[in-house]
Amino acid sequence: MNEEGIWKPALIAGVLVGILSTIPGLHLVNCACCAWVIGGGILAAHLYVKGSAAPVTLGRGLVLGLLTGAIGGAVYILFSIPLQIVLSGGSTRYFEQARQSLDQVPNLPPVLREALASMPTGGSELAVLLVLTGLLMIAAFSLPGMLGGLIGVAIFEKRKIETPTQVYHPPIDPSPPTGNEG
Amino acid sequence: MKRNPLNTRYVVLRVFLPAVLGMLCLAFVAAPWLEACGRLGAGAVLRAFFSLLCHQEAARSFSLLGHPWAVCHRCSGIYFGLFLLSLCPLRWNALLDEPRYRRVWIAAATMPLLLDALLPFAGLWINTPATRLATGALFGCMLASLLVRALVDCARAVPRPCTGSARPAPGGFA
Repeated sequence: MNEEGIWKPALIAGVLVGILSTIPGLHLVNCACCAWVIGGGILAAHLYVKGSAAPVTLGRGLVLGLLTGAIGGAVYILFSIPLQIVLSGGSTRYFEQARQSLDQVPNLPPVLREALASMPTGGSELAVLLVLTGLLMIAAFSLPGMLGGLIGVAIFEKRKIETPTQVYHPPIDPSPPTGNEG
Repeated sequence: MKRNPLNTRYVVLRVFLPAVLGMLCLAFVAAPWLEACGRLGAGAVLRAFFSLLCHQEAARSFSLLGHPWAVCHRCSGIYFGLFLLSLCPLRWNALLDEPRYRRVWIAAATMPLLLDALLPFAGLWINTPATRLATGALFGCMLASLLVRALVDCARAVPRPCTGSARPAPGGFA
């Protein structure tokens, strides 16, 4: 199987997913069962199946989708956080706005409210928080991406795959030995 | 009798996948239960996790003890469908080797969900919690069938370990 060929479709679709999920307004499409991410997985599968000489298995689609989702999540993090900071007019103001919007949430558990109030706004703690958020986003993008990759391969792969269960076994002669051989 | 390494992988697959999916189903039902028991922090963590994958609108979610589930009707159906079909035997799944059947199965499982979600915008259909759950469950079943098949492919792709009959050459690496 072409191991290197998996990266190109995953990168193309992953970057597209990340950008579309960041653009304000367009990102709302993800509210419909992560449609951009699933669509990205399907696109990656289409590109991969088109360029593959051998039939593509669903297992390969799963790996491709996971990769697409992970790249999409990473691109989303790279674009969304700076974009949000720019749109809110600076990092301090960004965190103030986030706190104000959290204050307006009714029935927010006091433990969570306190934890959010003590949220860091700079330094290494913020970096750790951002890295953790990034990892969570990559995991969250990978799951629907994986399903998209599966659906894409299932739709676009029209060549039949010979599985080990379909290997021809010659029939065994059931007649008992006569004892005259040898 | 020697144990086939592929069979071992299938057994792991048969146990691991339903276990993970079952835990996901338990998690989104547990969130309102935890909140009702006063464990607000734990419930909020579960809600925060599922908020990455679902809009969590309370009006479009089932409720337990007066608190909404952590995912909407349709997502609940998808997760339940995934879990239920992952419990089914692998044998019937060989149908998915035929690309034509595979595409028919995907279309048959996806169309009801799309129609149930999009027709209300045109004023031609009013969806209910039951239709959202049912169409989501059918879609989840389809996803689970592909997922199980894909994991079987992955299990086959992993190189088999050396068996006792394959002896290393003298002086060679074992």
